[in-house]
Amino acid sequence: MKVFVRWIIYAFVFVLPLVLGAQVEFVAKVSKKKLGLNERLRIDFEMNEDGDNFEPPDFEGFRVLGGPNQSISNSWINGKRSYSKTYSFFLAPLRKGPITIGQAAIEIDGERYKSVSVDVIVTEAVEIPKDGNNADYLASENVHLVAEVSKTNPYLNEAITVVYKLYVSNQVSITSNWREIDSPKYADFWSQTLDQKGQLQIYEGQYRGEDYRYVILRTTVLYPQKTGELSIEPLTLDVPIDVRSNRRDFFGRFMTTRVNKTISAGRRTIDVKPLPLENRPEDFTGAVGYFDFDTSISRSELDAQESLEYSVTVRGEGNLKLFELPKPQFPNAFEVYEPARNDKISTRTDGMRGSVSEVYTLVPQNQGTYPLASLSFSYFDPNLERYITKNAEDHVVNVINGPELAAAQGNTTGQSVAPVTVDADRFRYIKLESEWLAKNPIPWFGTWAYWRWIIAFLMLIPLWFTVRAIRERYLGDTAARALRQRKRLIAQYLSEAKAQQNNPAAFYAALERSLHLFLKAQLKLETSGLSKENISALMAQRQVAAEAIERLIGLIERCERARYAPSTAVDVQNDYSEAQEVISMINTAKR
Amino acid sequence: MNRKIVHLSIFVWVMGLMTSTNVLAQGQADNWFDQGNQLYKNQQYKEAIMRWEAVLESGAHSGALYFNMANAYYYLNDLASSMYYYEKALALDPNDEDIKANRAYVQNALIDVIREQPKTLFQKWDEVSGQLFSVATWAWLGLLFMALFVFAVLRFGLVDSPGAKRFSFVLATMCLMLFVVVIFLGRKTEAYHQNYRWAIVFQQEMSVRSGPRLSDDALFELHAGTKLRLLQSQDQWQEIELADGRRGWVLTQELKAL
Repeated sequence: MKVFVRWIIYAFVFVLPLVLGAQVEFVAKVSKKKLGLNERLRIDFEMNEDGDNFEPPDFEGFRVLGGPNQSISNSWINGKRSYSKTYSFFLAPLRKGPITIGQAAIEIDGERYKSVSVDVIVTEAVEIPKDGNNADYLASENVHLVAEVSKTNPYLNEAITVVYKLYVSNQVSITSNWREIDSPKYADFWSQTLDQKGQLQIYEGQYRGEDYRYVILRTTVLYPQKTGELSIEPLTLDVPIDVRSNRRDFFGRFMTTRVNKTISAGRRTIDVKPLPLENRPEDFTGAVGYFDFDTSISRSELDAQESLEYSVTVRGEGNLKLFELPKPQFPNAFEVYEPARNDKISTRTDGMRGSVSEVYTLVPQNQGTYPLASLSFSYFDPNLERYITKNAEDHVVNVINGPELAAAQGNTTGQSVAPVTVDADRFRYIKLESEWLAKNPIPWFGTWAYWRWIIAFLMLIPLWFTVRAIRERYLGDTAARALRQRKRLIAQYLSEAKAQQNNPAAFYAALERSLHLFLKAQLKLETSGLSKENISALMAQRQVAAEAIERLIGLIERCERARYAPSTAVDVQNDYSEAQEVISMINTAKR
Repeated sequence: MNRKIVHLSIFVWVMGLMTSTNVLAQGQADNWFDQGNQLYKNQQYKEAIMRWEAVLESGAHSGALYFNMANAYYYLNDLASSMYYYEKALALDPNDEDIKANRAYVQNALIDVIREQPKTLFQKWDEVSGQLFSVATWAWLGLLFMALFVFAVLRFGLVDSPGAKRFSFVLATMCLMLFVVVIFLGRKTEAYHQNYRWAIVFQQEMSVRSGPRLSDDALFELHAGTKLRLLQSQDQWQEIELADGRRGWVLTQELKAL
């Protein structure tokens, strides 16, 4: 068992490479897979070892025009042998449609190999029959310029890449430089072309299922600036192509023919989608990609008239050069200078990346605490297909010391001097006492309640006069009124005398004084120094009744007598009532 | 004797009316106010504002209260609220120097600078007469002059001497004239308060449009803390006027009326 396993391992290690190295290839190659009815087809059966007993297929659907032509090539390069033996046939199709060329067989080292059958399509007769060996035809069949577009239905402003590749098959070669006839125009795109620098690198690739070599001529990054169907104008090159001809030179090498061929990468159409309208943030300015957003201030505490820097930065990937940064708004006490823009953008094959920033220089003019409004930045993420808003953090600038007065006065350029000069010393402290008012006083000015009060006041006037009138009526007629008045007069003038009734001397002195006062007050007569005759004459002039005059004179005489002869018997009581009567009589007469 | 009693009774009646103002429950308001002041001292501005809000909810207010709230909001960097309460404080105490001094700090930190348009003589007169006294004061003055008028008329009827009568007559006429003037000014003040309603922008940034539709052109931008005058409104749109005379429409929710 062990021995058996060892033998198997030996077999793998030593025999397998031999088998692989000596692999036999027998393939059928056609000059074209699609041909017109009036064209010809060449088929080569190629093997890399010498074989015998070649057995061609029956070429059903074709007429054999020539062949088999046998050719052998055998070469040693660096001690390595390459060998090929080819049987060629020239065929003319007999009917249209797909035709399968069957398998050919060959015997190599006693083994029988079969080639793979080949399908060709025969179409309508073409106007100019393509000669399979025509250099022009070969050139156009074997060199292709392709524009590869990374995305054909991008969003507006989403980066797309167009790569121009020149495919060259193994049958032809390009040895000298090409010339660009027509550069593509990218109307309605923002474009940046990344040209290949230096030697073009050659890649192996496939073009329509066949092996090709290709070079990348250029890469262009495009940002569509318009929605709808946009077309990319083709790139057209004039390429000198070396095509191997059938003729051979003196040394038996194939001669090459140089053909100048104009090839172009076909026009491409790109369908640009508009950015969605729903949920579009208000501050969206057209940024599409993936971004970070940040604001910063160089310092947060400073004195007035010093400067600080405020920077707004967006970094990431996307159309960095194609949108506006959000514009910050600053307190009006800040002098703001035009921002300095700072772009660090590199363009790669997948779009722009880097950062853009704007730096504002600010000079506060006054002390105080200044909150700077926070900024937000919105962009559209084409992968998530939605808008994203990023907010930067808030900043507060604390201006500690106010401006120096002298400096402020000396600098009278004063373009953006703050409109309000703050109290230089301090931000005032709160109030610790309060008088409270009703927050929602009941309105009453102009209301019915208010006018009721006014009317109530006005009503006082008629009310007052009404009350007085009623009172007058209640107080009765004029006689009673006269009596009341007289009593009042008597009370007024004789009150002193009445008080002295027990002392006759004082009584008469008071009575006399009272009478004179009465005359003075009631009749406007200065009587104290006058004789009794004069008094009666004056009283007569004022139409006082004679009886009243007589009784008054009598009374005054009694008073005088009582004064000068106090012992005389007097009737105090009688004289008092006499005075009362006289006063009322004179008072009545006066009226 | 009789007359003196009458005069005295009228006087007492008038004085009784004058002093029968609404007396508030001051104790609780003072308590909250002091608590807020203490919190402000300890730099607990948010808590202080909550206490002062409680005073407002109790139905009392004062210029001092609004001033303190505005200061606290200033320290919280809420410029719009700060401006709002300074303006409220100034409405109650128009001549307070402290309020004006601190408001200047906030005005400096605002983004918008609105330069006032020179006013016509008529506008000045409108403003002076509108802000001279509150409507309630005019109401009391009206009542006072009416009382004086009644007093003078009654005195005219009572006194005998021609000099006193003449004096009473002149007094009555003057009082009646003053009453009419006071009622006129009271109406004017009322109209001023109806016409001159103010608001503060609370939105960080807002567009002023030419009409009450989102499709109308944006004329200019305003920022938080700017004071503006309210004109007419339609649905959720409000027409506004700035101190420099510019007009436009904004959404009501972006403002806070004083």
